[in-house]
Amino acid sequence: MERVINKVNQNIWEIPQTGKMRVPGRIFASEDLMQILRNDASLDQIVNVAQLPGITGFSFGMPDIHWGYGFPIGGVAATDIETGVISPGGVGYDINCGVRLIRTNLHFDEMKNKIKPLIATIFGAVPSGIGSHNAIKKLNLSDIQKILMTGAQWAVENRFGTENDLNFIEDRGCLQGADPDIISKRAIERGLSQMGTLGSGNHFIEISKVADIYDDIAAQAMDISIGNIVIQIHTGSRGLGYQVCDDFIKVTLQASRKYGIEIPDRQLSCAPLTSPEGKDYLAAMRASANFAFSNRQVIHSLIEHAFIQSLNISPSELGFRCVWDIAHNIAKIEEHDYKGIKRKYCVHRKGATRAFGPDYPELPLNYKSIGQPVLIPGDMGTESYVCIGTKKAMAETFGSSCHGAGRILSRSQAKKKGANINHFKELEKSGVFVMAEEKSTIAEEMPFAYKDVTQVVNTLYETGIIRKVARLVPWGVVKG
Amino acid sequence: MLQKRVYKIFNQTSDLGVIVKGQCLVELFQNSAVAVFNIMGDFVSSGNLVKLPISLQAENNELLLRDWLAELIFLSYEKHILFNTFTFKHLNLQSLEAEAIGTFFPPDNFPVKKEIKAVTYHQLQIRHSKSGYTARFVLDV
Repeated sequence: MERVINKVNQNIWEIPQTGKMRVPGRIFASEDLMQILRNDASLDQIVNVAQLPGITGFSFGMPDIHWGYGFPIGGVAATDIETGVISPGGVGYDINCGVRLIRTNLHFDEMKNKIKPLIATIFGAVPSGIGSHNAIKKLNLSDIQKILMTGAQWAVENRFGTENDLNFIEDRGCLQGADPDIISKRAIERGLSQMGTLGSGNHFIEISKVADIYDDIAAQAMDISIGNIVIQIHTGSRGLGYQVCDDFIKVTLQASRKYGIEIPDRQLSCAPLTSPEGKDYLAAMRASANFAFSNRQVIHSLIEHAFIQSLNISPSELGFRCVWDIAHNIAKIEEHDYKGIKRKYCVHRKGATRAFGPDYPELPLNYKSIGQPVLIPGDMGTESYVCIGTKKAMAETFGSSCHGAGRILSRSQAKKKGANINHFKELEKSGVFVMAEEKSTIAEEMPFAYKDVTQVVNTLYETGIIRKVARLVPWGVVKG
Repeated sequence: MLQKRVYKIFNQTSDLGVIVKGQCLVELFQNSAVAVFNIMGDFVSSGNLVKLPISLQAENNELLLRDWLAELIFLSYEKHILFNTFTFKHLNLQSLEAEAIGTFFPPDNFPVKKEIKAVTYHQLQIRHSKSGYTARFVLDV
């Protein structure tokens, strides 16, 4: 039986509240994207998430939504901090998986023949994939305690980047309220040698050129212009985060029973935000998020040195600066004025990006009048978008937007479809030089495995949830 | 070389779904472990064999299977061992005592091709029928 989905208006659809749903589902999708979604399991997951206690407004699906585990990827749920729950499945295993965008003074026209040695230098400097370790000296327990408490600040204090970078990271690269003592010994062990390493799968470092500017004022605030070389880093909290999630799903499975919470999928196990279990997970998740912020800051610094070494230029000639760094697997306590009532919510963003509009007090001066940068990487063969959040996002989606193109094919389907293709050559023909730790990953991550990112971004742009600032096209990619 | 065809992959958009069969619970747990290490990558045993005891308890056989696979993955990454033989001293619906045997690889030469982040709880199930046991689980990759 086909699920009932009502069209609300252009690009907005609703799954009516039925059965045990506490709120309706709301999906942002164009007609074409909805055709892809109609029979997708991610819609069942929106319904499941709608059953969480304390969920407010809607169980949201962004246009890049696809079938994940527990929450859909591209799912957003805001739960009331007094009556609601927090779910590790609403954050995922890769806690604070996120994206950083870095600008440079370099211009594509001056760089055309330099990409291969540059990518090779970065590939050598930033270990990637499973077992990747020792990008920097192995951490000791004192280091890791500081990282879990202070996030990117630790990296800067250890000469990975500058204090100014911190101004351009969500929450200045440090979530307050982290408690390293709650993190298991296993999780710590997994983190000790992984600082400064890139995850496997869809994680990447991408050198791109700015191809289009749609908003001159916002682009100026971000210090990017057409032809500029920019870098995106996509990675998260590595084994430490995976272990914390694994540890706490066990805790919240018990808590769900203890507090009489009925869950439609074990991966949606949760605990009241006011309970000891909920508070512990929040503190552990924040510590893991800080590890991820620090990881991206260290990788930023390793890439900067690779540029300087490979191009034989000075730091001032390079002009390497963080434009913004966002978390897209996270739960944050935020105050929102929703339907005229100002309250605090725990906003779960699972494969979704915060998109705060202008005037949010914690935004750096550069972005206060334009809104928070929203980084939406596409696939490695096409394009990515830099956008900004809007007041409409604050009013309608708890300040949230999509996080990428969103998969359309499973990994095995992608491999099958590309079985007779030399992916490296295909990408190089389209002007993208790729190096990968594991070659089979490339087959899984080819553009045909993803939705059209332009369609995804335009869906939210047309609804006013985000504004487009720039389009980036890939030039060189390092994959885990 | 690890044996194949004790499992099949089902399409799961973001991750990797696995269906495993076994004549009995022991074989199901063995085959599930074989599936996981086969997905991580074919490798040739170098003869540097290591044996590790594993003892686990869980509320039911589905959670026990998940914990068993999660434990093997953790030990593999932390100790740089790729396991290929699994023997059980004891296995029931809520507990197991087993030995995992595998090959140690130097950290800089750990031949894993696919990183498994976690064994999720999503759609985790074990079914018992006349033809034996079938397990279904989703790996976060």
